[in-house]
Amino acid sequence: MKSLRLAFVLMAAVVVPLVGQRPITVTGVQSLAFGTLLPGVPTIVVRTDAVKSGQFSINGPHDAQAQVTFTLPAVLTGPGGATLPLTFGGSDAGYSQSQNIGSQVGFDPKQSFVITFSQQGRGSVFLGGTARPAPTQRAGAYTAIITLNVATFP
Amino acid sequence: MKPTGLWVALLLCAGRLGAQGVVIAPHAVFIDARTRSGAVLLYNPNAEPAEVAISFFYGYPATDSAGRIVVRTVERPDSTSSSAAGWIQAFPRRLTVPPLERQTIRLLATPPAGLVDGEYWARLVISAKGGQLPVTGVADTAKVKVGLTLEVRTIIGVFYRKGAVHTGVTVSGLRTAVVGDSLAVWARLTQQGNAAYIGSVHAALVDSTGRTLGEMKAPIGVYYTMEPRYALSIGALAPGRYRLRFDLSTGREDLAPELVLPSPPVRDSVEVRVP
Amino acid sequence: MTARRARAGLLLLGLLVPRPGLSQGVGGSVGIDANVIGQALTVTTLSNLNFGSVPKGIATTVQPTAAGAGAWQIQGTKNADVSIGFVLPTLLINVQALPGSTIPLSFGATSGRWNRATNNVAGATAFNPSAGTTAKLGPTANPYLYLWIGGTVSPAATAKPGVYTGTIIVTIAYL
Repeated sequence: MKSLRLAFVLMAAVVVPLVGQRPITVTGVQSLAFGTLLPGVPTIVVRTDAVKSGQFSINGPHDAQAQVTFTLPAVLTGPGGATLPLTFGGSDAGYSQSQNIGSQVGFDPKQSFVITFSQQGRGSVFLGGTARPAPTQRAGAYTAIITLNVATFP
Repeated sequence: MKPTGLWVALLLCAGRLGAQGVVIAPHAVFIDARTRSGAVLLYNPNAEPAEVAISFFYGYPATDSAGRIVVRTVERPDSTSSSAAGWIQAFPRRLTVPPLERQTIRLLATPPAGLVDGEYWARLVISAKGGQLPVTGVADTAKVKVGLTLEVRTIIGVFYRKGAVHTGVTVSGLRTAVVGDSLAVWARLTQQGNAAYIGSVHAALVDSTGRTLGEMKAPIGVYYTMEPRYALSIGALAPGRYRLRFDLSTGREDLAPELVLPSPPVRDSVEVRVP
Repeated sequence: MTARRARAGLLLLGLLVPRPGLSQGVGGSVGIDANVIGQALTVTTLSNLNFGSVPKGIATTVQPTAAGAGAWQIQGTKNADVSIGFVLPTLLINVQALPGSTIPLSFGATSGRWNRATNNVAGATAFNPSAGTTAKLGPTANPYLYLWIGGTVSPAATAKPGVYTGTIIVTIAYL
């Protein structure tokens, strides 16, 4: 009986810190907006563009580390199923602990990246990219979805 | 007389220029009466700045006696015409586009009061100069040197739509003639409604089994009545009877779908006899 | 027995209780948006009309099929009809110390050529550049149209030295 009571006490000691942890949340703040494209003319959005870059706000345990991974589309899809190629360069993503677009650490969005939450348990991820419409690209609106995954470490 | 004095060096620029002219999009501008504004995007792909000037005139595609499509210009359109050229302005009208940069031209319509519902047209002229070309290769000052300026003028359509606009087209007088290894096709196309018919024409020659022996597809704009001539490559046809199928539809891949006025497809066909 | 059950219970609980800091995945999404404005029309000058060195008093012609011919590439909507026109100078004007001096420049009925989709003047169709013509852009794979122009200069035997200038305007109209 004593052993069993001891077991429950130990279990509580193990459980209590987990109940107190801040949950991870990822919020999409702004779409990556290429705007108006000319057929045949590649258009670049840099991650430091406050208006056009894709932006995520993430929350988690203060000062904790986490791994961020993008699921990136290779194309945008438009009228009649037409596709428009997208590319992402080695520095097209950025992380800012202070959530300041002017203060980022760049990283390759095609690779996982380890971030550290701020003392307040926050951070922001920014994304740029290049749209490459063909000279004969069909006119109209094109869309796609970017997903950001955040996982904490043991 | 010195040998060099006998020679006149005329250099309308030696060697390759690289690109000149600007990229212009879209190639047709549609302005709605609610916003009364539109835009054209210019892109300079060259290493030198491009000087650009904008102007308007009234004109529309029509056909000549040979069935070729040409731009018919009306210098003094009357008040009953569908001209928008007198009341559409471009801002800016003159500009310099730096190398590898884009620039937007805004179009603003100020139509006359009481304008009847419908579609009104203008042709937008974008004139681009790449600057004076360098004169090279002639060291003898006794020789004649030439510098040539190149100017590229691109003309696109502008469409102003007020109120309820609708379009359609009728086909009549469909006829053909075998010309060598091609089939010439003529048709009389007449615009319906109060807006230009913007769509695609498709013609196909089929045999008795329905097999396609030759076909063509092209964009078209019918503003009034026109009689275009088309040519299908058919190769050597065996004697017999065939059928030419001719149809028009409003599907266009080069224009955003929401800009093209819908209209039911129009079809016609005619027998083709090869002796 | 009681102790054994307690130990078993402990073991079971230990397996069930989540450890603090185990990796959790959470995701969020944003969209990507773009609007292709519509088919562009591009006119590119590939080469300029080049007469080289020309003797005074002798008319010199550059054929549209020659290496010195002017050449343009037009890119746009596949299979679209375009109207082609030229505004051609008839005189090249001396703009230096001897104003008023001119050299005649002329274009013949076959000084122009166009070829649909293929950059090859050998198979091109002849036309009079002063009159213009209508041609069709190429099909899906090659939505191009190629133009060439030649001409003839006729400097007088007494042509003055200096710089002579002129402007060639090529007009492309979408139909």
